[in-house]
Amino acid sequence: MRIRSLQDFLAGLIFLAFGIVGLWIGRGYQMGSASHMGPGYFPVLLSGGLLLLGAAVAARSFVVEGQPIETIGWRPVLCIAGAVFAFGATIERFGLVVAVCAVTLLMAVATEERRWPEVIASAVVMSLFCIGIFVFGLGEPLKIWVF
Amino acid sequence: MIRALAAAAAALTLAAGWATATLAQDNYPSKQITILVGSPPGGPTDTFARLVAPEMSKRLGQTVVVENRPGAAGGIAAQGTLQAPADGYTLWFTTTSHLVIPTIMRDPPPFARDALRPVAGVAYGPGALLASPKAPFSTLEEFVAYAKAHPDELNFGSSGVGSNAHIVMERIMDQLGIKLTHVPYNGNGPAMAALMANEVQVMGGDLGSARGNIQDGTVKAISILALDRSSIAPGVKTADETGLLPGFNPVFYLGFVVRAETPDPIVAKLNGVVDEALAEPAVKEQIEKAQFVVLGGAPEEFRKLYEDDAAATRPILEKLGLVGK
Amino acid sequence: MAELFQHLSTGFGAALTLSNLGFALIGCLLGTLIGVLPGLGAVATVAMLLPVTYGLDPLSGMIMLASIYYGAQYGGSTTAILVNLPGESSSVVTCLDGYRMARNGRAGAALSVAALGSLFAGIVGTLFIAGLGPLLAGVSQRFNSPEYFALMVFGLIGSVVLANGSVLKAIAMVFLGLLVGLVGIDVTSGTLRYTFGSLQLYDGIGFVVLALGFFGIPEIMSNLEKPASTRSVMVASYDSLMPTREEVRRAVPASIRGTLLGSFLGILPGGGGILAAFSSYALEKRVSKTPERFGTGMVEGVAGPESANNAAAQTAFIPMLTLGIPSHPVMALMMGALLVHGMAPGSSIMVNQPVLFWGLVASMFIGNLMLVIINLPMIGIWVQLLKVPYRLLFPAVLIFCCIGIYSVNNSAFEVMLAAFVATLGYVFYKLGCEPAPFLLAVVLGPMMEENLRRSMTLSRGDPAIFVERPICLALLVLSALLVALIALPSIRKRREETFVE
Repeated sequence: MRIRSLQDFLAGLIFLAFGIVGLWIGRGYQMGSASHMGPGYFPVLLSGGLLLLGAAVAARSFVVEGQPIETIGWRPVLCIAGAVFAFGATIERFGLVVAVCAVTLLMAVATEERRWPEVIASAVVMSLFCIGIFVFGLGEPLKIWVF
Repeated sequence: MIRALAAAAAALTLAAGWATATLAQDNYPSKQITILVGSPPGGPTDTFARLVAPEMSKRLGQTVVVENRPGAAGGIAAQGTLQAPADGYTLWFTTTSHLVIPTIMRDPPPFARDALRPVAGVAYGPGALLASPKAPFSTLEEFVAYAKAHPDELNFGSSGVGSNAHIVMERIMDQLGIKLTHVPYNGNGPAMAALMANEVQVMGGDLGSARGNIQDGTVKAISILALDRSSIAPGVKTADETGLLPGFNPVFYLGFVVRAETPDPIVAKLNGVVDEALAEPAVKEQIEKAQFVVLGGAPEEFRKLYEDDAAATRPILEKLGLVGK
Repeated sequence: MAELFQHLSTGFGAALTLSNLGFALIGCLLGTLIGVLPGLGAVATVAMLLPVTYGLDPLSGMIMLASIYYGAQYGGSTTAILVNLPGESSSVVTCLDGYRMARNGRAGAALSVAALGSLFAGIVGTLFIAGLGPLLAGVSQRFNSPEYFALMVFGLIGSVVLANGSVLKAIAMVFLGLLVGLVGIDVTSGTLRYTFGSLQLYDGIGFVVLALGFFGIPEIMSNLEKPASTRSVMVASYDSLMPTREEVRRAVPASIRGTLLGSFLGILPGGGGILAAFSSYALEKRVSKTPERFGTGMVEGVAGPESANNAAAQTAFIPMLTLGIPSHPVMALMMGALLVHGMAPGSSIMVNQPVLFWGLVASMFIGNLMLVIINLPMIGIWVQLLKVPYRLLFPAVLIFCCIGIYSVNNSAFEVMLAAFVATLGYVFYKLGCEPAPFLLAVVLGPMMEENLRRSMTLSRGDPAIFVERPICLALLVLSALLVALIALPSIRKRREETFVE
């Protein structure tokens, strides 16, 4: 038996995992009955369904031929996710300028084409631009600088 | 020698700290003040906060901004207040439902009520018992009679489990010895829509937000849940007047709180400023137009109001099995 | 009829004053700008400008706020088409084929079709308000919990049709979406579900977080993983900016269908733009002779949903203006503004405040026209923007996403959450699992469950309520038919060819 569709196999596993977690946590909620459903009814039902579907998709991966998975670029993914996370982590404590710079920096790491002067310039321009539009133009209550 | 130096350093630091603190108090306010509101823009809480803020700003000489931190029934705003320094620059403009109910209902509670101290009560809103236009009763007496004659037929709506509307209705049912089925909705809008469509027949609501519908007849007010009648529905008796619910006055309060450690002089100053803001005719007028009543008064008066409310609400929540969810 | 003309002329008279035109223009510009920026929504902006309107006369205030709201719908499609970023939640559907059209060099055409389709829909929607307002409001009154439940069921089954690839995985994504939609407080019982003790998850995972995490950000990720040389940038030599005759021929009927669908769905409180857009897309796939080409850049996939969401944005005013029920948070804000002016929005507004009502209606016609005039020339500019080297463009796009997510609830948590969601979204993309059914399920799922349980409470546990009510029964029967149609062997076989986007 070999996996004919890696896509389906992995997807199936993910669905299975979500289903199991859903069931595990959901079992603590009250079920109620079909005519008086409690808060646990749908979670258990849906998690169970997801589990079965995950199993089905994974099972099918042994039978039906699928597309190969395109190459995964780990660096862009981690850098971009990291950049978004960094923004969230810094915006309240350190303000908009720092957050924008953090993102610009991480984005520069994400791609091979960076040119440092460009990066610095764009960080500055972006910060000013954002301050202009969001804080002054739209009046968003965003902290600009550290204090 | 070293020890002497260390002691001197320690003493200096303490002195500096004390001086800065006092200085900070004396200089209060020296920067922008933020009012956190636990609901999205547009509701009565938010509107009143935005009404009072500019007046406070004028008198304090610093910008006062309103920041919406909706979510978790006021919990996010509470968290924001408690995580900020206790220096009087972060206030929470809250309502009794956000201040009281989650601390009783949730286990663990999203925050501890005594981690906060009151600054000033701002307004309170009288409630009304509303009914669908198609309901076969138009006064409190008729409603009770109908409910007793037709048990298990009527439904009442609310803006959510544990909401003001829910609790008020439970209190009414408890005192009048009737039982209706609770149908919770996701907010006041859907609940009112359901009331108008007669999906639910009654609802406890606040008079202010219902006044448009009362005036054009899309809902009926069958009783005013306050001690005075209202100009919106002059012919409707108060619950107290009918004798069925003597002294029934389950009002909905709004006011400012801050962290409990906030120094007294700062709290006193804020209280004074809020009182003055509420005395401004323009502010008073807007609040009264919305069918709310201006409060003001000393900080401890506000605490009494919400603690009394907590004491009255706890037994109801316990009875409903809503404590410690 | 004559009465209608008279009303409209009163309305135009009020709306065509210089100051009211000015307010409409400001509103349209602001609305478009907000629509373009992802996450930043009409709600926050309207809320911020609300106090400004207290000093204006009620009609002017309403005109400005309303034009911000439906203006945002126009702007939202721009980023959806250009960079696969839904600016407004209802623009998610436009991403599906709109972005593909842009990749094929037809960005200009997609943008024009979206703008013109929206204009048409806006005008028709406004006509509905003018002519049929109270009647349609009456219909919406018949829609109670059981009917909503049936509508959600219908929508969810239909969402499988949205899938351009494996049906089994699409169904799994629907289930996942339903489950994720359950996160937060349960309306019917007050219990907190799947919140892991976090206050931030109390109200569930925000739609903006999920939409950007599954659409916008993974797109950037996948663009960056390819070396610059092989990156399929927008084709530099785009054919004309306007759609070809062939495209127009196909877009017009789609637009008409979308408009009708959207006009109806917009009236239902809670119906709204997203449902309208998704339904239109599903409808277009169903009636198309080449449904398998959806997802590759079919103009119907842009014309239909764009018209639908704009029509829904217009008719969403009906419940507010005729019944005093806000069907959208922006409406609630506008009602608040009216209350401040001492007017009670409700069934009496048409009669007691004719100038306000008809003036607003007239300004909607004007506003839609203004929006097209603003948006069409901008298309040329937007398309030029695509020529900017990607390495300079994508940081800006990402930053806008971040600010947008943050500004919805002033929540840094949601931004950090989005980082995780985006990673998951990327993984799903690589594994051929489609985000559209997932997102639709997240929106519809909680409403479906809420209405199901509420209907059962109302009927005291008796499931017969669903078959006793005609509209509800009809919708459920249609859902069953839909299942049969999907399950038909010939269609099933065609669907199982696995397409990867």
